[in-house]
Amino acid sequence: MNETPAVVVETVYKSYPSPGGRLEVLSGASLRVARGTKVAIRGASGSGKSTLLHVIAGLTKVERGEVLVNGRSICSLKAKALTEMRRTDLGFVFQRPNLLTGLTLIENVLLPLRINGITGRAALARAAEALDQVNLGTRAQHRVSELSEGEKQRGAIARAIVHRPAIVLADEPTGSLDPVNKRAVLDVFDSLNGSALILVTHDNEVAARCPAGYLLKDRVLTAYDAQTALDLLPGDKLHGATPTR
Amino acid sequence: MESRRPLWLSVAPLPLALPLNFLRRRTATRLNRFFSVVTVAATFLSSIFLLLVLAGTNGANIELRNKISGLDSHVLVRRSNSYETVCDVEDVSRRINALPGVTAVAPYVWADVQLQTASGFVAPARIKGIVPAQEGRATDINEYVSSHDVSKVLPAGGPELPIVLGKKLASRLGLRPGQSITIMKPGMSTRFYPGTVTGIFASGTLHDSELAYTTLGGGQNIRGLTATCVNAIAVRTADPMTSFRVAHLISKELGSEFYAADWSTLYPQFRDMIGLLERWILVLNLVLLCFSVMFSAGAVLLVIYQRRRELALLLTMGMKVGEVRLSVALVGTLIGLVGAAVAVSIDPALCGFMTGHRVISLPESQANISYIPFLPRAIDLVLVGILQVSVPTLLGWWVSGDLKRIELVEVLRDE
Repeated sequence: MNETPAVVVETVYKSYPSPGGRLEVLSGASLRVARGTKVAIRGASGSGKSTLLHVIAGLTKVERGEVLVNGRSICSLKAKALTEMRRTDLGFVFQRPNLLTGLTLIENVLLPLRINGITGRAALARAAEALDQVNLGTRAQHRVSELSEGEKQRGAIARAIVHRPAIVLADEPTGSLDPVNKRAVLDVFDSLNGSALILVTHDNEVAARCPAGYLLKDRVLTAYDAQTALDLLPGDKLHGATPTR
Repeated sequence: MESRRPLWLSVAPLPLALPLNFLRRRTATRLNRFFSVVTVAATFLSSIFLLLVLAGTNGANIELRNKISGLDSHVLVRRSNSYETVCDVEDVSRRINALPGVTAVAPYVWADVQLQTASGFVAPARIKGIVPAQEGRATDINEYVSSHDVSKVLPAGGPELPIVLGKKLASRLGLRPGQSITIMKPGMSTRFYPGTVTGIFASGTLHDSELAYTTLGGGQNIRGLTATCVNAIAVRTADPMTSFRVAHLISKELGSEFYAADWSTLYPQFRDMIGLLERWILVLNLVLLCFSVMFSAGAVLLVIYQRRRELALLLTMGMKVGEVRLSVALVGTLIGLVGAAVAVSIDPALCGFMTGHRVISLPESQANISYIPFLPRAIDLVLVGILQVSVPTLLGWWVSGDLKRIELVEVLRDE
């Protein structure tokens, strides 16, 4: 396919200062996510999965390498342009829902639309549509405190997709959910259309729901395919994976 | 989709809608509600405290000025040679009256006398002979006599001199209205004038223990002056604080034969007292202002700290830093607006209550003013309102400048 990939991470290096010197988190990590596809990033806790997402979102700078979002390099972008990119191209789902507590569910979902300049009936219709997509249409007017954890997380997904971003970044979105709610959230991700999904998880079951994935281990990313992902279900070892660098 | 209430967030400007949400009563957690209440309450308390102190100091200032000019004129006019009398009263009064800033004139005579009761008690006093109607316009004597009209207690004519005594002087002599009194004018040959106590005045000043009033004719008789001569002319001005200018104009108009002095020249201790009071008010208000600003600052910082995660979240959604900063600044605006509005609304009623119940009373024997009235001024209400709104707004904008450097990743990291 000749289409520009949604995300390209090319030989990225990232480290953090630590008491014992620089702590290398990513050392030449690379990945490529096509438009509309779903990709899981697996790895043990502390392996740098979240850092990778932050790099893609432009929330943290890389030391070396290149990150392209919708074909545009974000490493040299100024703060204003990065903000613009996050506003239009990205949707973020965190491990915790992070909904604004004083607002109702639909008001939370309205936020990205308002930030993108969409107002009034058009905004309300889009927010309602997003809530229907995550099966929360009947809970629109409920305050955040009146929702279950699973509903909150689905609400967070609705907020992440309501402005139809090209890329949805999900950082351990099921990490704090029970099995029932976890499956409900994954069902929502399965139904996503149009947006590329990069889902960070250390949960094999979650990773297996994505047709493609990468394993982040020893600071590098290794791609694996859908069949391999299924094989991963019982354990945590990766067979037959090919390093991307 | 069901719609139970209008979704103002879909149409209201986002930088305004968010702070409204931050301070909404129906927020999700008790902690949020607590923070909202505490921040607004802190602003309210600092506002009302500042307003009360301003009203109190204003009231004390006015009360003191009133007492100073209560029974004394703003400007006194006499001959340059203090032994000479003013015998062309009508002409001099007319010329003074024509000057700008003059509102009333009243000629008078005075004499140092001894007052003696029928039972033999004696007390020194200064007796002042006045034209009641004119004196009532030139001083506040009518406010201090029980009948509220000095003309009623100083009738012209009659076999004995009508005498109106200061409250403490009357008390010292054990006199009440209707009782007889003898006025002794010491001299080479002491003269005696029979009189009757016709009234009592209570001004709350030292005059209460040393001054007595009688008619102008009676005063002239005691002093040994003809009916056309007086010792001095009392002048009332439009503004006691600028009466020195009027005194200057009178000196210029009447020439060097006359001497005109305003109250601040005649009573330098009062002038110094007011100056001291004003400096004290300034210092006190500056201290209160600092406290007030600290309250407001604390309130805004509290909100920013509490909402730090939400602000970071908005930034990850692509909201511009400027818009987020505006939201924070408007949080300050709303806190200030609500707190100050409540304070400004109830201040007049509270001041009325505190004045009516004389909440701050002073020992009568030691002070020129017996209590402090709380008199709010419109300018103070406006200034405190502006201050309490603008300070947290600017502070919110300034403090939120840190959002430019905020590490979103760190803030959003799960605890």
